[in-house]
Amino acid sequence: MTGKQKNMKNHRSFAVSLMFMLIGFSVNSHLWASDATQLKHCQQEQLIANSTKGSRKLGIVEYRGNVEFCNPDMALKAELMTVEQSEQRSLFNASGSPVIFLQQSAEFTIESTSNQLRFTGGQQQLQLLDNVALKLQQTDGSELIIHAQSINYDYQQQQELQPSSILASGRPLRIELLSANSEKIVATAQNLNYQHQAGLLVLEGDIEFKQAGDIIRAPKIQYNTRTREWEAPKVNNQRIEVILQP
Amino acid sequence: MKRWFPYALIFLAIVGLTWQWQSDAPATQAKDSTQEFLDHRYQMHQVSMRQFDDSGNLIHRIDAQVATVGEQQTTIKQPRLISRSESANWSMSSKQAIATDSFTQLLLQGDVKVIEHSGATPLQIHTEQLQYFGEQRRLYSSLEVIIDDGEITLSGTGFEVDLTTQDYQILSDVKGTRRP
Repeated sequence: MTGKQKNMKNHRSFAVSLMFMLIGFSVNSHLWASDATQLKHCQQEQLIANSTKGSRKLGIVEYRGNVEFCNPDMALKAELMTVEQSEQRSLFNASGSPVIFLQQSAEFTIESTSNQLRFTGGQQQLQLLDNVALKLQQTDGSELIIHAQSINYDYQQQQELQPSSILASGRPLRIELLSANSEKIVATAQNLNYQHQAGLLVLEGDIEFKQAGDIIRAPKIQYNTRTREWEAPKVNNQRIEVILQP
Repeated sequence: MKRWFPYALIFLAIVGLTWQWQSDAPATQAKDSTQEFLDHRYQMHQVSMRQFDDSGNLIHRIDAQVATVGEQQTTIKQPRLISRSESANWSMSSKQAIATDSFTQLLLQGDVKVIEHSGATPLQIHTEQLQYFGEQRRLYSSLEVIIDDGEITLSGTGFEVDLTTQDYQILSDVKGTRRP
């Protein structure tokens, strides 16, 4: 192979890599963009679907095919959705590739994509399963983005969409935390526990935590979202590695 | 010979008239209402009928203003049908219905309304045509339908209802709204 041929081959492989990178970027950005543009809340509960099946005795209605649903609390798009209505609660189960979900209040916006979703109205609980991506935005500009295998989102009672806790797990899960002043933290771990009122984010399992160029590798990290201080407690004599930006 | 000729003509005329009278007689008999009844072509007014299955359970009760009975089917005007089971209490009405298979199948046509009364809020179904299968206790239609369960109003095209379990299906183009 001549030097010219090698050069051409390198250029070709670079172009292919670039193409895949661009496709990957556009798919990723499209995911959130589609959430924002496709779904809207509505004052009166509405839905469309290809077909439906209802059990009057059980109080369950199942909607199939291109399901689009909205009410004053939420909007979602799925392939299959069942609604179980009782006096105490409304239980929504949805599946799809993916299920797209949106909730908005004066202070918070929750957007998610996942293969399965379970939303319990009365108890205010959101469970997301399989290929989960969740974005929690606040009006002050802060954002928490989680990519995981499963997420449990418990809401504060009587507080519009304010999280009480978020529990997530994945192999690995990935988070991006953007503060109001645009300071960004990116981390991977196996489990996440976010307590909103305490402002405490706890990551566990094979963590790589990146903040302003610093990298921390540890089995456990506790991060205070208000003071922006982190702490890596000792766990079973496991090694903690810290690489600080000079 | 000439003398007998007018008598012969009168005789032939009498024979001819008698022949014609004899051949007309059966047609007159066919208009007899007894024969119409035997041929299954008659009308009944202010009809009320009940049908039971082999075990003696009531399948349904049908009330109608007029029922015209034919050989293959019965056309019913302003029918009202009531079908009850242990847990369900259905009533149906329409402009007309065509009954076949000894009244166990009805095709309800025009402004068809179906109501189930047993729940806290009635389930109401409105369409322009549906097929009622009495023995199977099922409803089917391929036309547009509106189903209102008191909280949610669903519309779509084509539906099936199981009158015993109260399960329903809308087969395509579903749209729904919940009352505020």
